[in-house]
Amino acid sequence: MTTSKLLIIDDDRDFAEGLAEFLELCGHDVDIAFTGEGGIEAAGKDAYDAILIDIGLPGVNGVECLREIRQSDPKARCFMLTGYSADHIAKLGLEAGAAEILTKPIDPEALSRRFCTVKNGI
Amino acid sequence: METDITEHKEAEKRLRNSEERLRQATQLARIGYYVWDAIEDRCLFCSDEHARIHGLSPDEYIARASVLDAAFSLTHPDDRDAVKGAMKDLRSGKPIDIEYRTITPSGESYYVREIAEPVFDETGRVVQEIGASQDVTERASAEQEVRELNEHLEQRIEERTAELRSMQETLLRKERLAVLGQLTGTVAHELRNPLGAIATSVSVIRHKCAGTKLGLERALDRVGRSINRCDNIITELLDFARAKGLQATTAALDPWLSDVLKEQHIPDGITVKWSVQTNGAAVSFDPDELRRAVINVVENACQAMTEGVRGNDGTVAGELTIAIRANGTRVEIEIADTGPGIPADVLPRVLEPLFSTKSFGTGLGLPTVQRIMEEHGGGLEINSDEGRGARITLWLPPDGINEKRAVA
Repeated sequence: MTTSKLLIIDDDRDFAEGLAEFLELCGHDVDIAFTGEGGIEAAGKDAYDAILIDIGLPGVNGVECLREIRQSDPKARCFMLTGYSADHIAKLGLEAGAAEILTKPIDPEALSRRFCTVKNGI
Repeated sequence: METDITEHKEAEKRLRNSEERLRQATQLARIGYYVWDAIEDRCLFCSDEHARIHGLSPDEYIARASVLDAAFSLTHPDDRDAVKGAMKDLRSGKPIDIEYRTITPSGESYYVREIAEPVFDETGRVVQEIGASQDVTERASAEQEVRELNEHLEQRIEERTAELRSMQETLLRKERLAVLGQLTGTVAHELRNPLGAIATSVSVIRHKCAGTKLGLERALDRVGRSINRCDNIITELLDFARAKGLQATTAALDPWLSDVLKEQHIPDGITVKWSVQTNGAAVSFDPDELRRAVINVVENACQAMTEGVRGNDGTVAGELTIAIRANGTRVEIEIADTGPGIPADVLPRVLEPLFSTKSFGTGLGLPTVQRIMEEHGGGLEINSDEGRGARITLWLPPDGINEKRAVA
């Protein structure tokens, strides 16, 4: 099983830490940033197989954060996290270059399996 | 002698002139008059105008009026009692002033105002009655017209008031729903974040406990199920709050509905019957929203049947009938179940947001369906025979939503 190097950018600390802990248990290597600015900085320093970005970040919001990361590294695979199931938000994220929109609450097991394959570009 | 004759002739001439002037004046004023002999009870004199109002010549009137029943035959049946009463008053010495309708032999009718006074002899007995009558038909008709107009106006005002009241109620309801929608939308979204944290943490715990024999599996399963339930409630809240306008698609309803139902889990023991009575014409609707509405009603129906009607062996035996109909005025999807039906006291409340009879219900299911159908320009109808099942009709305008309603 292939594991991934992941970055979670979410201001909801409990959610970010819970997800990171779980994904690490599954063998992934996970970093966390709690702000958009922190996320952009982390993404600039390291190469990640996938980056999960919450849409509702304070300051630099999720879509701006995603856009900036993709500007620096057009190959970055970014997933947008949202509590809304509304389509217009999904549309914004996809327009900014998100690979997929993940609606909370996400199924952590399915997500982990997903990241076992993401590295292979599937 | 000659002077006497001349004077007599002069007097006669003056009298004739005077009579002629009176005749002309009364004719101009449309005033009739009569003299009645109260002792012998017969008409002594009737003017042209008084006779005309009764549709007769003066001689005819005199001949007819002297026979009492025949005289009353000239009065409108509805006014006969009033006229009889007035005549009795007059005979007993009281002056009268009344209005009544005549009926002429040719069937015409006039409104008449009649003023009459008794003439007494020296002993105080009524010997004559002198009356004046006036044709007031024009005035009375105008009055009648005004009365009718007034009544009509009042009726129109009542109708308009009722319309306005119902419009106001609709507006108030929509405003209440909008406020409620905003609130539920915000709350639901805020709850999703912590719920996400709980879900990931449960997964962490489950992983760490795996193979440890701590015996936490059942507890963790319960947490997992509860998370799912919370999530379903949040979805319902968000569905209800959604107000993004419709995304219209044009398609035939029956193949679309058939696909929707194929994806839907129908519990064992429930058979689905189809009835399609449309010409297959395409209808414009928002497939996501209409699917939500249909599924909501189908789930309710299945739930009612699995909880309500069980055979002796505890098995479910229900029938879900789906009918699609189209006529000139609307397109209907009717969903009927054979469950216990909706109790009569619950029926008026099922569309109230947050009203629920289920222990796990949010009370937003049917209000959401109603919102969706109303956004389509259609509506929702609920019929139920307690003990015999419920029948829910979702209807759309004949061509579905029109372009103005759809938001691209």
